Amino acid sequence: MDFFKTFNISSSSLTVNRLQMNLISSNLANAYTTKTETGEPYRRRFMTLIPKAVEDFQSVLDSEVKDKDKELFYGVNVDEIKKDETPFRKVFNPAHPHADKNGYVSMPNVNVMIEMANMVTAKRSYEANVTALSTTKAMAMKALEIGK
Amino acid sequence: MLKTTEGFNQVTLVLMVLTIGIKFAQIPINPTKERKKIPMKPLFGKLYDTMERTLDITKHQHSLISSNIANIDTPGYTTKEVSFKKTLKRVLGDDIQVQMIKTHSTHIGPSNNEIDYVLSDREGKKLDLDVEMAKLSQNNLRYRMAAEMLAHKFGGLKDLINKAGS
Repeated sequence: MDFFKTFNISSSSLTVNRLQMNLISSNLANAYTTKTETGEPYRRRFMTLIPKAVEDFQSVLDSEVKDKDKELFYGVNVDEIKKDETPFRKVFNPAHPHADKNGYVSMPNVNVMIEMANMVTAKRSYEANVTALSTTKAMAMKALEIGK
Repeated sequence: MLKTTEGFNQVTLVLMVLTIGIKFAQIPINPTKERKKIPMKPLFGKLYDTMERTLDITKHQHSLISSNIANIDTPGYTTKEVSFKKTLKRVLGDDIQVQMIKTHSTHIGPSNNEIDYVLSDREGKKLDLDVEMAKLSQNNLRYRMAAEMLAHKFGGLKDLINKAGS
């Protein structure tokens, strides 16, 4: 049943979008965290994506038996989660306990506006994939009605 | 004497029957040629084949569009799409396909389910979510249309069978 492959494709993207939301939430929550375990302020996290070929029984069997290239259906997968290496924001606040000797506090390199924009993108992407998934389901249900 | 005449008569009779049989019954010398002449409308005509292929191609297309939507944020990923029209035309127009010959009774014929997909003009272009969603919807409608049509056709056949029996 070919539809299961499509389900896998859409669900892989849903997982990735959910992870993206986690990262954005984490960045927003720590937008003002000036000290972490390593001693430096919180660094913004982001992830890079790569396509991931979706395999099922049929495609593996075909590639083994027929000596034929695998079908090119790609889901999505996280390549890696990286820390943003851009410099920290310096804010003059001598009263802050984490201020350096000149009175400057290093603030995390999280830009709230960018995070909010990314959040909307992730949400829209999630919705698009939910639509694709429900369409797949509707198609499969329609196919079941043929013999009725 | 009587015996030989009887033997002769039997042989002539058999020969006569054979000659008449060949002349009037027109036993086909080449059975493969004769097969095409059977004047019977197939129960499952061309439309079933077309709709079946439509379902196959749109299902494939749906997987590709889903891939595109899943990879909307993946850098370097380009559109993957097949051309429905061209693929269907190729699949249905191919009467002169490469045929395998059975030289032994245990040979199994080639599976006829392989579809040679023709790529669309949009293949390899930059991804656009709006276009993909529109394509998804369009493709879904096409699938539903084919499924509905098949269901209708089968329903008609079923009706016919039921009415004829009662």
